Amino acid sequence: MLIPLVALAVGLAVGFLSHLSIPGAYADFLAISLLAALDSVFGGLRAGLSRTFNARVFISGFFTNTLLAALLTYFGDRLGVDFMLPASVAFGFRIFQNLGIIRNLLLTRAVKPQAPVPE
Amino acid sequence: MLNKKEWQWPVAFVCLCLGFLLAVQLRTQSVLRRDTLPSRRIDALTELLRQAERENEALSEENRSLRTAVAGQASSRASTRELVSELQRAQVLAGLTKVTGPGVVIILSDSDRQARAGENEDVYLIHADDLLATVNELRVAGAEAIAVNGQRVVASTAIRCVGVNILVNTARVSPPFIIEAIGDRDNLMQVNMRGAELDILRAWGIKVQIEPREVLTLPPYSGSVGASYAKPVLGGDG
Repeated sequence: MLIPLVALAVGLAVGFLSHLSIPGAYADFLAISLLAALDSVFGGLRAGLSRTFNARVFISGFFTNTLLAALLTYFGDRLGVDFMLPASVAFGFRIFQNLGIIRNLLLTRAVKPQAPVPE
Repeated sequence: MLNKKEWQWPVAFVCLCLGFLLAVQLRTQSVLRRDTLPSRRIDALTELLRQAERENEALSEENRSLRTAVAGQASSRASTRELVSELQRAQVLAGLTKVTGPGVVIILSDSDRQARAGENEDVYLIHADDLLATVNELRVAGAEAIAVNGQRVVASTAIRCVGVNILVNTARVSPPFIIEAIGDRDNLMQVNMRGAELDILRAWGIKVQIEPREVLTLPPYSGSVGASYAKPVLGGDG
């Protein structure tokens, strides 16, 4: 768990130090991308903990999800359809579900260190 | 079963990207927050504005009484009589005295027309620009003194839009706008001609009333006057 956390910190540092900020009109799209990215990361963590992790699936999932989320929201904006709400609901739902499963996995492991992993 | 390290590296890579995106978004949001006023601050600013307006009102009152006192002092001496008449002439031109005379009254009210779907309802409201244009046309028609809702229009007067209000001098005015102008009535009535500002406003359904009056009395300008920066140039009249 340490390496991903360090990487996250490095990413944050690079982002803050780069003094990059996007125009306000695009802030919504980036927000949805972020939600998709978070969803991918938690999905990856969950897969890692439950020993079903596949690097190819994870990396491709992360990038396509993030890009598609931004693109869909953008097109929704162009078409006059609000994609922000359904996207936040769907990603939020998945993030919370994954968090629940991660907690479950960690707890099971803490109680019985040698137990076979569910799922 | 995968080695622990094997799944941590891809996650670490993705976390790096995530951290970067997160930082950019946080920066963007903080920029947005800085650029838009939170409603709490708007309330505080509104209160400050009210307070400033009250102070302004009190100072105007003081200004008026001081001016009366100065006029009283001056007229009590015979030697200054000529200077006083000169001063009065200047004050009439500057809008610093109450003036009376014939002229016209224009009353403008917002349109009753409902904006149809997709139409901008702003066009049915009276804007600062409209008032400004009307005042301008009255001046073209030779108005010697103009007041909008009791606010005397002088050389330093600004008519501008402040949020949902229109500010004339430092007073907030709201519809109906009553524009009084002293001058030659027949000339002043010409602002009503075809294609003029009032005609354009009527086309948008704005209610325009204009009528000549035998006697109009306009209040003096209540703000402070004085040139702190502009100095006259001697012999610079030519």
